[in-house]
Amino acid sequence: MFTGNGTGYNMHPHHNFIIVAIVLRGTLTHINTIGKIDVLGPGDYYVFSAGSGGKHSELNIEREDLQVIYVWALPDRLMTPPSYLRGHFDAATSADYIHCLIGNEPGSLPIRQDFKLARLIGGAGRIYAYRTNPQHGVYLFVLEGAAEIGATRLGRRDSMGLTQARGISDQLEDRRDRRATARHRPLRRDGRSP
Amino acid sequence: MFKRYLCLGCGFLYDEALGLPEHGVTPRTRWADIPVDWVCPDCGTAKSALEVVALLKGEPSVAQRRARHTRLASTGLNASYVAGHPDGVIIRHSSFNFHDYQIRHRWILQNTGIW
Repeated sequence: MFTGNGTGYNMHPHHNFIIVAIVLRGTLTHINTIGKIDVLGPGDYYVFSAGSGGKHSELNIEREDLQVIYVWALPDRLMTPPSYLRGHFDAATSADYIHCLIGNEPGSLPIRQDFKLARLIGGAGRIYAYRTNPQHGVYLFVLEGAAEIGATRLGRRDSMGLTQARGISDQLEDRRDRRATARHRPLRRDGRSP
Repeated sequence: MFKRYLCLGCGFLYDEALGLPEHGVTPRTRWADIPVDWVCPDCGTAKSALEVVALLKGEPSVAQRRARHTRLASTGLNASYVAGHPDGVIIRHSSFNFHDYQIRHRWILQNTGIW
């Protein structure tokens, strides 16, 4: 969250990382060395792959507070040409199902990794199933409302990480908005490709 | 076999085969021979927070990458690009260096009690 006019991150370099920003509230001004100056509002998100090298600046130049979620991922290939893609999550048409924002699925922004980022606006009392590969991890973050994930109850802005899960079934106790991310095939610490 | 190390702060890649000539590290310098107080030239992350990464499947070799790439020089104290890496691109000298920033920030924290 960047509060107030002029706060944020100045121009700084990255390599290889794939940087994802999801704007929840306010206006984000994103400038990068691919030549893109972008202004993102609530529901907008981008995927900036730094690859062989890119700089970016993340600023709040408005009076209103800015709330953004940032996610970093490693690509499956290093030093690729930098790229920038932008998407929009429309709350009005995306309610009641797990909507894949980023990942190699139709209608999602593609990413060079076995990785998915999804968002759900669910109805109270509804149950949603998310199927995953036991080798992959899942990270859940509740934006608004509350949810039950198995025996665990998550409230607003609570999060949990799951590994070796076969599938997730969660029940909404209230209207809420949830993101689920599943990161797959990470680079192994010992340096060998999986 | 030369190894490569990825900075977990910013994604900077140290490639043993290439070294960092612009930062005084000659090619073929092994990771173990880099001083323990070395920090990532782009973001100031400590040496211990870099992790080894493999040459990934299908990725061109250093020789192949060298052959197709025009090398650009990165000079100056604030040059913060991937110095020496054949796939690296250099836009311009850095206007912002996290290492300098962190050092200044730490000094302010320790000496002024402002925060």
